[in-house]
Amino acid sequence: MGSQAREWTAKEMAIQIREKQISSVELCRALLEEIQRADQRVKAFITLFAEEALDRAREMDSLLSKGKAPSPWTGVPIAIKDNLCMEGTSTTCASKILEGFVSPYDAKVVSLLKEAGLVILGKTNLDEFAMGSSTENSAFGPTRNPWDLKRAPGGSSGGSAAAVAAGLVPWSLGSDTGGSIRQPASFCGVVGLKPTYGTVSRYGLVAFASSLDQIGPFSRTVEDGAALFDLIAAPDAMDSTCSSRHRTPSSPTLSEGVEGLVLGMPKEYFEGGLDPEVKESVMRGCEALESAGARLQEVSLPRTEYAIATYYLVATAEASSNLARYDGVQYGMRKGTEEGLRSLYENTRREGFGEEVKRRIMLGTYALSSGYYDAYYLKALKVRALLREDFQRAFESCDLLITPTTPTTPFLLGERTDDPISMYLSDVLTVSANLAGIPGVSLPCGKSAQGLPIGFQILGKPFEENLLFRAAWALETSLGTLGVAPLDEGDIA
Amino acid sequence: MAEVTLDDVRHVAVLARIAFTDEELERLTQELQNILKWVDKLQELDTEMVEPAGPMVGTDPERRGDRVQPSRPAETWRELASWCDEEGFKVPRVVE
Repeated sequence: MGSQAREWTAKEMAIQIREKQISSVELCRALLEEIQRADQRVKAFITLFAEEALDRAREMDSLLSKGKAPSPWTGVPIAIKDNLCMEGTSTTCASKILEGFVSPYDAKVVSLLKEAGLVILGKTNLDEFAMGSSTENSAFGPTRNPWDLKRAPGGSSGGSAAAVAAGLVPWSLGSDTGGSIRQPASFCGVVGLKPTYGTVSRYGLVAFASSLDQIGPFSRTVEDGAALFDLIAAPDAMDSTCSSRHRTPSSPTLSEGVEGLVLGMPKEYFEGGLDPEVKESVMRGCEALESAGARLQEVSLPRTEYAIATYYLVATAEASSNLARYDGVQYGMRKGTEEGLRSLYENTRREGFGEEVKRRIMLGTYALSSGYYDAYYLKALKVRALLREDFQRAFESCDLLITPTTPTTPFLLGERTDDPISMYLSDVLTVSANLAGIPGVSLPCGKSAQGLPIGFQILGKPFEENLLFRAAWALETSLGTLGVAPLDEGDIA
Repeated sequence: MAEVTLDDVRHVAVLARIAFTDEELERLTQELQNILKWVDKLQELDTEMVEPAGPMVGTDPERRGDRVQPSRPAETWRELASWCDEEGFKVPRVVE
């Protein structure tokens, strides 16, 4: 049953559990065995909760047998990115600096998963503190793309995306600050949503850039993605930026179609360094939506070319402030106590942080420092306002925007690690949504001649995830999903 | 655009509380110079009349009532650091 379980969607698992064709324990055990076998090559997981997960699954089976299942998803397994706190488990953020740290509480999203009866199998790999686009900046080594083990899965939520693509879990959670859900979803051929800023509570998510971070779902089908989003989108008084507005669930309206919707194609997203195969595949996706009844219209987001530079100032400035807390005083790694307090701070941070994290802290500190604040940070905030204005104007004439998710197919591991700017440019089509706070989803629209997934991005107005999912569902209905990566015996870089 | 000097980077490293070797500082100077040269593109845009982006639009945050809530016992936090005892977190002496 093991390899068969890899193919099942969360919905199929939920139905089989409810109809007693399989127990949660059997299912979780089968997937844990798959993880033991396949994850030696994919390296999607940092921590596995084998025993704890089976105990929990047993508990869920018992509730199910008593007719007390807390939700229709009771007993279904899931994985979470290792920058989310789960009580009693280590949260590493793929950094040495959090060595020995055990979360004292559950993130809000973890509480919601537990309340719904889900079984968390483990925590997945990421770029250190979510800083990166390839999951290579991890103290635990890189994750590999299940479609081609020589290639990067994208990042920073590469572990969560790869685990879903490889069928090790049917769905997972990631976080997206500049594309960290959508870009790996694109590279791994799965569905990934970055919700509107303020839709999902960030309580218990380790902060990278607080005005940009959002937690969101990965899945292999749009239906599962919408269902997981419905589970985690809830108000929370513990996150002062979390919206309390009433939202209607996304799942019931999925199949309402795109008839009559106006879909804007921002011309700036189809120019420049776009790989011809990516362009061709995305254009086929656009045509599919047109055939389903939508009207396509060219629009312009004229200041798109300034988005990446703006992002790397805003995000690093916020990161330099957020990461000031890792100083060897209250938790985590501690080095250099013999030579005084300054040395404790400076050496803990020297030993604990990886190269990219240090680079970003330095850039952010520089951009905020006296004499440079106006020229860099303030300037970036002003351009951020202009980028937001671009979206507001575009949405006056269309309901959704449709674009490629990434300019290229997955790059080789190691290909971009020596050149920070080329790595930063992997996010050129995703960062604007974070700067504007709007929702975006990526889903597969085909594969390249080499068999590598290509992602299609749909962006919407704030709080219009339901419309986003409707369009995504229509596209998936027309093009199909990529299913589970076969994980053939392949070369490992 | 401002030229990033080794002294600037040394100063920023002090602000960021990270120890670097001279060699690392030299490499960082070059990297920051490259990144800032590229970021300088923003200067092409006239933003004189633009208000900086404020908090995210459209959010309607949940506000907590002003009530005292129970907090986790000190033991929760002590367990995270072996150098923490009943009196607090031990750090190197700062005053003689």
